[in-house]
Amino acid sequence: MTAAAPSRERVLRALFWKLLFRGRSAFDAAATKRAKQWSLGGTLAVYTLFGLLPAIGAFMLPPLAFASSLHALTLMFASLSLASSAGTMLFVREESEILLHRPVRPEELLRAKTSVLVSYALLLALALNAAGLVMGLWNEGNAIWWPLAHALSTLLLMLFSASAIVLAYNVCLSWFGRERFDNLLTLVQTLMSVVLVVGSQLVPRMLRSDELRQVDVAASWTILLPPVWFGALDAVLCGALPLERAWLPAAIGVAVTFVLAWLAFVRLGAAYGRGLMALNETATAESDRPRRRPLSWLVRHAPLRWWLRDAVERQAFLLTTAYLVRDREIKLKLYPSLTPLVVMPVLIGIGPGGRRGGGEDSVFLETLALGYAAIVPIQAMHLLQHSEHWRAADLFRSAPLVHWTPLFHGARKAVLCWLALPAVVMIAGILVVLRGSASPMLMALPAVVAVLVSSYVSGLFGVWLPLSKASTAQNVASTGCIVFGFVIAGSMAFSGLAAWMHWLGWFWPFFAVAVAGGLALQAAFLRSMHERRWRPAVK
Amino acid sequence: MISIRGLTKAFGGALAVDALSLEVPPGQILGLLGPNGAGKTTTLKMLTGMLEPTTGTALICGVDIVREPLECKRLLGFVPDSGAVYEALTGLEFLLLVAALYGIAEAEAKPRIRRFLDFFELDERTLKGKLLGAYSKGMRRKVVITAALLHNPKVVLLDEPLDGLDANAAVGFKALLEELAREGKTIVYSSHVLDVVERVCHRVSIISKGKLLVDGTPAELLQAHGAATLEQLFTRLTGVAGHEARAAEFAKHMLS
Repeated sequence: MTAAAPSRERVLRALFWKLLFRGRSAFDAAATKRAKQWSLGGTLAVYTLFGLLPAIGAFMLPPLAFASSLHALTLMFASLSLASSAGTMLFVREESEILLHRPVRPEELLRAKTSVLVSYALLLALALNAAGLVMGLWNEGNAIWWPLAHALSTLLLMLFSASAIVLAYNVCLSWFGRERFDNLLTLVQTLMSVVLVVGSQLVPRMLRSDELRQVDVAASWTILLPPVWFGALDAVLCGALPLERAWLPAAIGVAVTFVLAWLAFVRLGAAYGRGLMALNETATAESDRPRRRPLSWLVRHAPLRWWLRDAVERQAFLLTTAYLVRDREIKLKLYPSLTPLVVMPVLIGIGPGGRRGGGEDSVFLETLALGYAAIVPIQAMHLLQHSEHWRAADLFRSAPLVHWTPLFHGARKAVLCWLALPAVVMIAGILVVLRGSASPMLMALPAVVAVLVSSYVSGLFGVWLPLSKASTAQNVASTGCIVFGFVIAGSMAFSGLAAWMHWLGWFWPFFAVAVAGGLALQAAFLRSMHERRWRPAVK
Repeated sequence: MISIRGLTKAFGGALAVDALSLEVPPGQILGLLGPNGAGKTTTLKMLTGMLEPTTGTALICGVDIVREPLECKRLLGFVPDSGAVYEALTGLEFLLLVAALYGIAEAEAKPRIRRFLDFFELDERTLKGKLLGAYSKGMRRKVVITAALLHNPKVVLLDEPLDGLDANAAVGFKALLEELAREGKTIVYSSHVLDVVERVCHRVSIISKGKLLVDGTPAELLQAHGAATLEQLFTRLTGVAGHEARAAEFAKHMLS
């Protein structure tokens, strides 16, 4: 007698676990799997270490404040990680061609995907709470079954987060078309990475604040905070607070979780199928609306016409720009990964006290912050080398091109024009507003030099062709991290030097030397690239 | 086996399929022809439950695809023209996944997969060891066809199935289709390759702008419209006249 086939949901869960670890396209599954396992192990280790910080609160905070702070941290990191991967996993365009014509219910698909996402987020959440689960036993008033109670409330918190995310995506997909939905998805993920970076800076400060000690469930505003609901649930389960004080927020937490779960998975579960169909539908439908082409107008007129005189360079610029604006995969990877590179410098530039006004110490921080922007072109060029349309790069190899560098420069200039230089301006602008001082505008000048020089770095390591590598290849690239580290160190040293020169009153001579040095480096980089032979044939 | 009544699909204001009605009995291979954007793929996607019809009904072996999608999907096998697969799975992993979705246990699926392997001359080591992302287009197409036929469906819908297959595999696949039809399966074959359709299909439907233009056996259609070949009939019904003259004019200007 042969074993019966496993249930469809079990099969789908196994599939989505595999895809979570391997990616959706890969050449060497074993290498990708190993890299992902290492990456997961590293993430869990970092989360466990980070969880030590709120766990110390067990010795200082009252039970509700302690449990709420753990849930706040979990909501901040594990739930946001869940949210950032949910969009990519829930809505894959080609999936309808693979699965929708098979006997699979949309609800089953949704449940399988969500259970994988929730399990993954729960792993992260447990790593974050590992120290708290143990140290909570010493928290005043907590019962011996605190670890069990807190694990249960964390599970509920993850269910709450997953339901809220799935519900939000389903509602958005019902209201917007696919193209708008793609933009919305990118926007949501970018915002989440902003919240994550800002949160990682703010949470440790909040944990040291006295206000947290006085969290009281009786105060009307605290009842609006989900971490307090689940913190109250801990307190109820452990008997750490009188029932009459904690039952209401705990009940709200449980009720909201179940209502959201019902709405997301039962009420709107079928809508998920319609959403997948809609992705399919709009892909089939032809838009009659003519596209406006402001970009082609821009490149035909000064100053871009002067900057992009080479025809191949100009076309590579247009290709890169089109992918920056239109391609879902590039947008979802690029913008969330660039956001921390803009937000972090702002937080560094503001400094610990967030003081206003000038002073040499603040100029130093601002210059360091602006120098951080030198990573933007490296990160962007790294990501723009990879695409799901990598096979189309055969075009560059089959075309009678004398060298690959025009393609590189076209992409590099697009990155400078639309990402790196605007990033410098944005960081400087935000710092000017927040500090109430004009010095960031001046200190942005060395940053511009650093950004221009660093934009060549990606072309120094072999042949660089836009969108020419399979998407998953980037996950196993380790040299990128080393280059990244060198550029950060170099840029920080350069910024530090600029701030020091400013302090000595030698800023303008320094800037002149920096520009001359930048030009010399540029010439050396260009020579190095041109000397590299262009062998279009792939080995 | 397939019964389509007034099937319509509108995308916004545009009608992709306009009140299409067709009956395809068991054992018949229907060639679905039409120029680009005629509505062939949209029709197939509605028949497979991938797209919801705006109006009209489609029955697969008497089962309504809108009312009982799961039942319908068990009865049909579909080869999409995109050939989409999970590229991070090996060929074998993908086929076992598909088998499990149709409720076929691994022990039962493996011998079936082996029979397809033999038929398509696929290397077992490749199927087990290599990820689909690294397969050639033809190999991937063979896996997609295997995935469509693995559960022995009663109705088979094919959208450009020969795309990427080499001549030997294509000949073998056409013979397989004829054999499947003899066994009583209903087959809809959508393609742009007219001579293949003319040789393989028992009946041909030509659609344009979502509407059915003609429907009948190739011989009947050629006779009724006084055409020598299906290609001639197709261009007469859906294309522009004087292709040779236009091509000559274009080449003259292109080369000047």
